[in-house]
Amino acid sequence: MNVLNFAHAFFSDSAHWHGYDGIPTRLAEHVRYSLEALLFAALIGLPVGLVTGHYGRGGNALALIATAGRALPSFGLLVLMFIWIGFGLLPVMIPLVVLAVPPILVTTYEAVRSVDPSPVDAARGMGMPEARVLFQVELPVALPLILSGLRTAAIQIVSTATIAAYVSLGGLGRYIIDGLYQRNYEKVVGGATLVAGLALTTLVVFWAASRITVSPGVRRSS
Amino acid sequence: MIRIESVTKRYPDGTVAVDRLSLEIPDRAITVLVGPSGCGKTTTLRMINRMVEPTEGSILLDGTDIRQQPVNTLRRSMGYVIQNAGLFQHRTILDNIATVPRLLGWSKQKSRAKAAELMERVGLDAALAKRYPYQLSGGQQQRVGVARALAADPPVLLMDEPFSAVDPVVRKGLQDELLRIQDELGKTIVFVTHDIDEAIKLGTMVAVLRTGGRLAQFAPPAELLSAPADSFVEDFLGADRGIRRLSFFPSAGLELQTAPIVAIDADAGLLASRADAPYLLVTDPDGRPLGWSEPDRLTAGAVDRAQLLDHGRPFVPGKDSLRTALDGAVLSPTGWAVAMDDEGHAVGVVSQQTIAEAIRAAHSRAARGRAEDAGDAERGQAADGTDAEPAGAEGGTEAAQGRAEDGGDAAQGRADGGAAQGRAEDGGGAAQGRAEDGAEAERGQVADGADAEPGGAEGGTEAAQGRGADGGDAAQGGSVDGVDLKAAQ
Repeated sequence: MNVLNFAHAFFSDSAHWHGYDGIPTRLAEHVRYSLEALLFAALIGLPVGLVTGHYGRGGNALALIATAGRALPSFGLLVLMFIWIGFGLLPVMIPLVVLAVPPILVTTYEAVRSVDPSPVDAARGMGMPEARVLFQVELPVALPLILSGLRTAAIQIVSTATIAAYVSLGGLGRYIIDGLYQRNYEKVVGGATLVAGLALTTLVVFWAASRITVSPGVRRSS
Repeated sequence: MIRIESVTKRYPDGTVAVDRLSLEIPDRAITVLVGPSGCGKTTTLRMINRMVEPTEGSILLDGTDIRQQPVNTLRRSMGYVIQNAGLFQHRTILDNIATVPRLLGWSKQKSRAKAAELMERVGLDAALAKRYPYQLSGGQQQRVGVARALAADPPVLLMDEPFSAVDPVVRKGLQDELLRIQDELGKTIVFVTHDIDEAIKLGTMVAVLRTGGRLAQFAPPAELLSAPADSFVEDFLGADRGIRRLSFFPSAGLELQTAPIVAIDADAGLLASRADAPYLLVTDPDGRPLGWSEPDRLTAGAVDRAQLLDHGRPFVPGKDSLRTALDGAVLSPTGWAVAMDDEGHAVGVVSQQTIAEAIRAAHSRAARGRAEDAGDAERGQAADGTDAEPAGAEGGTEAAQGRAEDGGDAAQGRADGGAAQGRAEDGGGAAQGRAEDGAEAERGQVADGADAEPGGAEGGTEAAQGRGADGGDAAQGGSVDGVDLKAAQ
């Protein structure tokens, strides 16, 4: 198999394991872009989703924003931002955040809105302040779904962050783009394998996070 | 005390959920709000802890408007139990119960200790403390809901149809448990239900609300049954109101007979001395009832247990009500109820006639009590009149009544109803009519052929009514009762 041979050749070449174009550096760059984009997207999507879900209003507006966000092509947005803003991380962050906000926003809204109303009613009736109702009653129950939204967003970011290389930034996209230019298919396959591996790792990380943060009472009953 | 003063709840779309409702909810008692759906009972309850704000009127708690204190402080001083319990599925049972103490700022340790104490109080096994709600049955979850509401020891408990989502057997257990807990704690409980039987069982006071959120009647359950304010309340109470009212009459005063009781190892002499009774109740050597037999079918030393007629459900005098006693008598093929002590030993038997007399005596006692309460004998008798009249009318479901209406015989009346089935039993011709439509046995049973007239009448609700029926006129039953009561006074 060509692909396996390419991958083998790429990973067994010790030159690929150090230096500014080495795998550790590129991987660290890629993880950094992804985490930053996820963080910004979560900072926008989670609060808005939690609040709208809690009050059960604004669902239509959210759906509109989400559809619009999904309709925007990341690559096109990147080029546009690059022309508009110039070099730097910002033109890369904007398309990634735009990509990640809709799944976070929509699932968070849905997750909170679909929490069984009776514990919420009981909590209010017992004199629980509204913020505690959200964070101590609704959030713990909505958490699995919220995490799944974050996970979807994270995986999309990881795979899309390769476009950073188009605007002369690092990350695993470097291997793919440089490899294509240089007709070095070892590099292309190696880069693609690393992106896929990172996406799978993201899945595992989210699975572990939900094991740790979701109460066994919620995990088993839902 | 909670005073609801002329409270109205009108929604923006114009719907009126509660209409100028005024209620005085007594302290340390269970007040039940009952009514059909859309009568505003839940809205009324939710206005007490300000989950719903009234449009007009006010609610006073110990003389102070509930809007005087912060809403969450108010709510923390009132336990709140809802249908399906509303437990927090991400918290353990112990932490669910500890919710309000934690909100009040108690330490985690103190809250959990209190929660553990509450688990015991509501009859939950301590082993459940670390479980999650999904691991509990519906009944257990509802107990947790009650424990959670009681955790901070609030003086008031608001319960919104708490037991309506569990099966009847579990519901009965939960109701008994609530009464037991209330005996121990003496909370001011406001309880919402759509189930009139639950209201009558649990309520110290029952408020019947009608659709549109108006109060139809506010009275103790016994009074509700004896003197419904209007036809709506009467309809809502259901057909066998007279029978259910018997739940409030004790069976303690019933005159028990011991002569028809013989042990299975009785000698021939003893059997011969009892031969004049129509039936004998055979017990085992320890005195536990086995069944009925005609005296001439019994041979000393050779009693065939399989030949005995079922003795029905025994009652415990002093503990059970006249309703239970009557039920036992009606279920018994001989028309005699078996009385037993707490250990299950037969202590006597009582006929339907005797029970009927006790019922009449209890009615006149109740009427006298009401008359004295009112301080006006005239009024008392008038109330009594209304009492006797519907009792007769209500017999419409009864065989005796059917007869009265037809002017014919019981069998005929029942056949007309289309719900009767004649069944010959025991060769002796003990015909038993049984209502097929699933109505309670106590309602649908006619006595055996030999005994059809009085037995049928007594199988009905009340002797007075039975007599009226014999006279061929149900209305007369009411007046017979009335005459009786006047005489008694």
